[in-house]
Amino acid sequence: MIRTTGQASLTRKGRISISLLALLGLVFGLLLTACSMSGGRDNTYIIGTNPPEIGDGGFLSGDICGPPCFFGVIPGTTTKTDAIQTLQSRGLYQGCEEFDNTRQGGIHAIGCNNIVVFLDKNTDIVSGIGFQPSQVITVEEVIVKYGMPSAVSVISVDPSNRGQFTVGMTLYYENINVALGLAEQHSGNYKVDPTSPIATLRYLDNEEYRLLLHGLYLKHWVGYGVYDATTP
Amino acid sequence: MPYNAWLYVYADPINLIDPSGYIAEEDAGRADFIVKMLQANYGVHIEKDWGYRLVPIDTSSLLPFLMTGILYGCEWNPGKLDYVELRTIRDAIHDLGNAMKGQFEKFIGPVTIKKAGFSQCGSNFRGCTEAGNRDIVFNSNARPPVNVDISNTFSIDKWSVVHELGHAWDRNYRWSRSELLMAYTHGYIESKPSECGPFDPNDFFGNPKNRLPGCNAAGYFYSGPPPAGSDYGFNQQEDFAESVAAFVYPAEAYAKVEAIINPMKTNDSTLYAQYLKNLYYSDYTKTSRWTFINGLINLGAFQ
Repeated sequence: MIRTTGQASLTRKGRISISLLALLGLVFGLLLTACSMSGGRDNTYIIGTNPPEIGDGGFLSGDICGPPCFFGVIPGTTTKTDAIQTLQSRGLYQGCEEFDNTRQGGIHAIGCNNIVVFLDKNTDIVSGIGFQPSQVITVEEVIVKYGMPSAVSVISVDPSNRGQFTVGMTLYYENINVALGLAEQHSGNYKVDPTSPIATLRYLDNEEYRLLLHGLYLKHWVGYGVYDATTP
Repeated sequence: MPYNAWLYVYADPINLIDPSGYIAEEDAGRADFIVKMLQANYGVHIEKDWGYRLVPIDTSSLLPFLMTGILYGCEWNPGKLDYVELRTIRDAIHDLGNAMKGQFEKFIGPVTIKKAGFSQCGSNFRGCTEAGNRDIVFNSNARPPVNVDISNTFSIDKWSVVHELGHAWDRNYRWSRSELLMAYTHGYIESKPSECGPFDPNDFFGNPKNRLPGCNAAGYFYSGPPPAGSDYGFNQQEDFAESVAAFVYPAEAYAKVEAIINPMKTNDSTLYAQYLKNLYYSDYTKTSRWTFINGLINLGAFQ
């Protein structure tokens, strides 16, 4: 009988052990699943099959940080190595290639999917960062957040002189060293309205911003409407 | 605009410039002076298409005894070139002449500039440079006179005039200047790579990859950033013409590059970086193309 009781006691202990094992297994399994999901997402980004989640790059939201800071990369401060690590940690370092075209008058930069990190020719310090937002940013949203641009430029381009014009408009914000490129149009002038989308954003250090504006044909922002393209 | 002597000029009484374009009768003296000055100083002939012309007079209201023959009257013909355009051409030639430091006629050779309809150049080219008449093939070895034909309905700007004169310079040296530029910058011509994607010749902007090296009609793999962007019509001759224009107007060249690095909406996430890699620079005077043109002009290279 005692045996029976003992048997019964043994059975109860066994049930407790099995339950504990099952619970531990479940917890361990969940942990494994969580780890593998996290690792899987990162791996996918590194492979570069998914578009990077740039969003607005913090420009309007201030998410992580706002201009001139881009996900922790700050022009004029961050080194190339730190910038790469920061972009990698956020899954933004995809399809990247460093190039140095300075011998032919071009730029030294790291070009990634939708992101370009400009590098100082001498110091390897990040001098600017340009990106294409993955969410729509309109001119109206920009003006609500940052006020009117300090200057604009409107230029037409026709490289083969065939009357096939591309017209680009850029908005400049001197107080934050930012240049915003609007999506290009194809006529002799540029029509901008509150819903006009921002195609590219560039955050620059002081020197790059000064160089950017040097020699440009700048105009005053005079509100929404049609801006004539400048020609010499 | 129908001819009306008062309206023709005095609709813009301050500047005495015909508001619809063309050269007003009152501007004729100043326009003629520009024409003579360009011929004398630069050997550039402006084809005058303005001036008085004879027109038959309607005699139906006259008495029958006067209708013994055809009567003619005198009428002002404003031509196709307007006074502002003529001044733009003058200023552009002057700018190029200054950049060439007195060697304009040596480099460019005799040039005739005129304004004509689209049919003169074919398609809707903004301007084109060709041999002295329609019978000479564009790429022939024929010698000048070179004809710079500004045939467009768009306003002429100084950049486009110097661009065409760049072609005339190339033409004057049997297109060797553009070949030399291609060699100097390590460009080359090959068949278009498949990754360029499709192209519709009627839609220059349909495929944003057409701006990349080799993705143009000529299969021209330009090397180093072009002066002011690239499109489907870009080749080594356009490269040279643009390089000349950019040499004269480097700030404008940079501004143009600024305008084209904003790509069109595209699903290609790599295009932004490719544009910046292949098309962007921050100072034209530090590019290999500026060095090349400077060598031609100031160092007497490749004479």
